Amino acid sequence: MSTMSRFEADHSEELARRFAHLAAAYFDHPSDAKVPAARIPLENLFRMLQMFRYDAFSDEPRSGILEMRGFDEQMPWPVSDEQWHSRIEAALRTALNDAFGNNANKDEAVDAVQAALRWLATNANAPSPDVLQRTKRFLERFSAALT
Amino acid sequence: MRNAKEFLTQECGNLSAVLEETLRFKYGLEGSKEFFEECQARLKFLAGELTGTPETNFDALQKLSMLLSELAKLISRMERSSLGEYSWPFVEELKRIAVATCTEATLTDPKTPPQIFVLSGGGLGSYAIHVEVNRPSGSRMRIHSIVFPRTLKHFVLLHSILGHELGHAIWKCSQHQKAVRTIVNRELFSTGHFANPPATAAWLYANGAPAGVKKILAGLAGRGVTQGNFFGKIASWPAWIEEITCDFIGLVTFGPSFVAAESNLLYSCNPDGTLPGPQHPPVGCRGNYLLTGASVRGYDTDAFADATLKRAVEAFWTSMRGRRQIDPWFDVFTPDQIRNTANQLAVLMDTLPPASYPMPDERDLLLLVNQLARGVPPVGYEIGAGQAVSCRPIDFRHSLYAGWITAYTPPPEISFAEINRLCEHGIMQQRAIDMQLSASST
Repeated sequence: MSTMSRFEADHSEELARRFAHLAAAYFDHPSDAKVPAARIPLENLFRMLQMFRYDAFSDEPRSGILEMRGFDEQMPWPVSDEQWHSRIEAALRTALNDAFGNNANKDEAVDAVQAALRWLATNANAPSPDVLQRTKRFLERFSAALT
Repeated sequence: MRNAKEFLTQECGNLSAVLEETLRFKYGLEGSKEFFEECQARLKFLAGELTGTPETNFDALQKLSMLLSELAKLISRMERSSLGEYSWPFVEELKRIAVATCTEATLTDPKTPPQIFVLSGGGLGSYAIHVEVNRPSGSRMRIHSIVFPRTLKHFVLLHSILGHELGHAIWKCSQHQKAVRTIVNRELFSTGHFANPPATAAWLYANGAPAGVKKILAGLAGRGVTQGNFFGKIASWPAWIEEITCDFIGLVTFGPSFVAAESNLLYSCNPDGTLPGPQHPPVGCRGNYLLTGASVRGYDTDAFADATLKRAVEAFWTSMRGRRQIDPWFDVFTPDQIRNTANQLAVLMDTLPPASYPMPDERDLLLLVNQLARGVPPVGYEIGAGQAVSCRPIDFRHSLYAGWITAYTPPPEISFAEINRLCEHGIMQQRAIDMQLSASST
């Protein structure tokens, strides 16, 4: 037996909020975005946007194909059908609408934000000042919506 | 006594030392530089977050504790990947498919291949491909770990079951998840027993369900599990849906070998095929739709001119079909549903070469089966008239199929373990042949 057990809460919302907050701050201090550790928030935001783009939020860890646990041996269920992403998805939608307008094309808005994140990480292919401004606004709104 | 923040700061230092100690050596197939850099980035990020966290912010410290613990577990698993207790030749081939199917867009590269490492552990039930979560986490790049059972190190024929696990990895790629979901939702999960959770529960609790199923459900009833709350209280319907989807992906990526591996392994865990699980539907219905899938895809063809090969293939498929559950309760999908799903997933896999299972031609299959019958590793190497040597490419999945055919050819002249060993050697030797063919063509 291990010395302790704990219910592992899902920290997705807190992490998403923190990542958005950090990335928004990088626009004021772009050099901070170039260090290797800054790739963690930037890549996570990029991944969230990919999930949003493809409506692909199914992300539960699964046991191996042959892990045929009997019902009697398992911990109380369910452990994986929670909608971990519902608030994040809603916050992404709200923030994109706010930054790019309610009629903005979803793919184009996601492309624009991802291009700005890429520029933060690499300093290459700078998007227009308008896109940078909208992306910063998107990140601030996204972070605020998860507060 | 140190406070939590001080303790976690110390743990960051400990992890850094462990990282330096372990990952600067070569682990996995292509060294550990990428893994090292990834783990270092994760650790630096967590250490930075910890520095900025007040020692009284218990929520943030608990979250960082969990993320540090996950990183420590990952590094420990990667250390074990150096032990090599699995079939390297098979892993090389599996990785080619995994890279093709799990390459995805990242911040700086629209086609970033996955980082994969391999380890072995446990026994029969250990086969798995663990894919790191897509949701917000402490990772920069996601790392996939392929797990082989320690006890089945050389049983490459059974390794075909990892086709199912590839399905989970594909499912975790956002772009593919949408494409796969579109297919299965339209063809499998829009009507019938799997149209929605109540429909599936009604099927499971039907009066006509097998006695084995009823016995399990009766036991669960004593714990307050009913038809109305089976999914949600004790089992996950989304998990069942995903597992079924991954069975179909396994079918169209590994073909006959997948059917044989899944049939052998699942029925060894649950011989009567009636056991549902929290995340998996009953074995019997999985076996049945896979047999139908193999048939509608034409994998079970025995239309061969060579009589000996034809008999051997017939014997193999007769044995596979012998596992079919006769009770119609186990047939949860119609043949049309199975055909449409398998065909459309195969079309999707065709866009991700070499993921889709290619049908073997008779000449290749005959060569491989004959080599195995002589106790020779199955490879694309022939000595023809006048002692002329010819080499040709062979897909490793055809070597595995030849192995399964040989295993079911009566009378058994070589053991199952020996057939596996020969096939493992065949895959390795074929790699050398492919390299030679590639070199001579340039």
